[in-house]
Amino acid sequence: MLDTTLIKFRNVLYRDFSDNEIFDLTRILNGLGILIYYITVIIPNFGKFFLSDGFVSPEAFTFYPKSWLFYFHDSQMILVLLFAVSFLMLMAYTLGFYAKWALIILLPIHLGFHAANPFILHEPQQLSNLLLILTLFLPIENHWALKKRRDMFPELKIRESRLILQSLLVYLSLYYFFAGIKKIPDPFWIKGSAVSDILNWPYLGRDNFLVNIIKNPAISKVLTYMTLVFEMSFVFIAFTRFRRGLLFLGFFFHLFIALTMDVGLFFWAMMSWYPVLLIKPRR
Amino acid sequence: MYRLIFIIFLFLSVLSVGFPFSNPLSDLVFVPLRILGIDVSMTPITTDMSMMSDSEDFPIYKTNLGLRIFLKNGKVRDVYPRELDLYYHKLPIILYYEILGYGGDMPEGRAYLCSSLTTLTDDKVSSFFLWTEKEHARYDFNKIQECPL
Repeated sequence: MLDTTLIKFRNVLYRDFSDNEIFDLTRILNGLGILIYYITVIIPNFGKFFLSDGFVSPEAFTFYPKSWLFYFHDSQMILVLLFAVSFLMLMAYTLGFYAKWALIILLPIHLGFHAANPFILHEPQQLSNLLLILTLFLPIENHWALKKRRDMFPELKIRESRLILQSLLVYLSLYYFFAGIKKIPDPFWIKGSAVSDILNWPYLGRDNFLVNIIKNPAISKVLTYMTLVFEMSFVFIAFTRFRRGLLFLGFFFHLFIALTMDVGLFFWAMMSWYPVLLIKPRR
Repeated sequence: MYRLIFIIFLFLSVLSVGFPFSNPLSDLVFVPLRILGIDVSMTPITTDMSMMSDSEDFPIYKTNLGLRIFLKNGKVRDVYPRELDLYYHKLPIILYYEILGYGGDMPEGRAYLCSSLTTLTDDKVSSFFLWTEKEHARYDFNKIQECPL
């Protein structure tokens, strides 16, 4: 029975995914990541982040563009209602119920709240928002959706959809490559102590048994170099037939980071880009 | 094909701002990208942050640091980093000090932080400072930040 299960798992993993399936999967994972962010971070702290003291006044924003929601600053009811609409549209987007229309309504409200409080922002939100904007132009409700619909834009030709997916893959690969190459001048990465140094920093490192194990100098050295190798080799492997191996490596790489460092929803933000690794290999 | 062109342009814009290799393009797209919720120069909690890999002095993750809060009732509270919540405290603190490090000031940021830090205390916060073991030329650590009245 185990053999049968493993074979089924292998068949699912190695099957060809169509481009539309990949677009849908991207939509689902991105929506799921943002939903988790809404449910675990925004909703419990909505008042603090967006009402009363939390709503940063327009004068503060010499560094950031002002949110259009400032025009409703005095009306907490409207802000709550707008967020409720945003949440519902996000659910519809994730589940694929008139996903494209839901996204069109969701985007201005979601970006409005995004800009309303820059103090709660870090990298994951930028990655999610980039994907949200991209999926506006892609067919995202053809396959895995509660309500399958033809895209409102003209249908993509196979060659076009493939080029779009390849460009997403190029972007993801360059993202990793630059993240890796920027670490090279740092002597702590070169001598292999960076992982334990970062985990020792209480602003970032969590306090659990996994972190305590990794602080061992030998283990830290291995993980430090593995991080550099993974990030800088991603771009070279992503365009070969071994690309799906990056799914596993990347999944565990980011899971490991999430378990050992306090980096918010970075794991979900990165996973929502990973469906591009399922691009059909050239035969 | 126009969608592909748009997507490639978007990617190049993001890359040009995040890793400036073409300043005219990055200057042109920086603000529009921010409006689209893509703050490329946002303070990511990665080693890409200037605060984390500043080779002029020392990377901040190689030093001990703590937070000292002065309350309106005269008490002083030392807060350890592990007591801080990521979204309530850590991110605002990092963003605030990154802006100070770039030579800017953000009184509203200070006000926001003072309000956030109140969750750690039993009274309102009158001032605070982030202390580090080592002095850093660029960032205003070890300097008292006054809360607005």
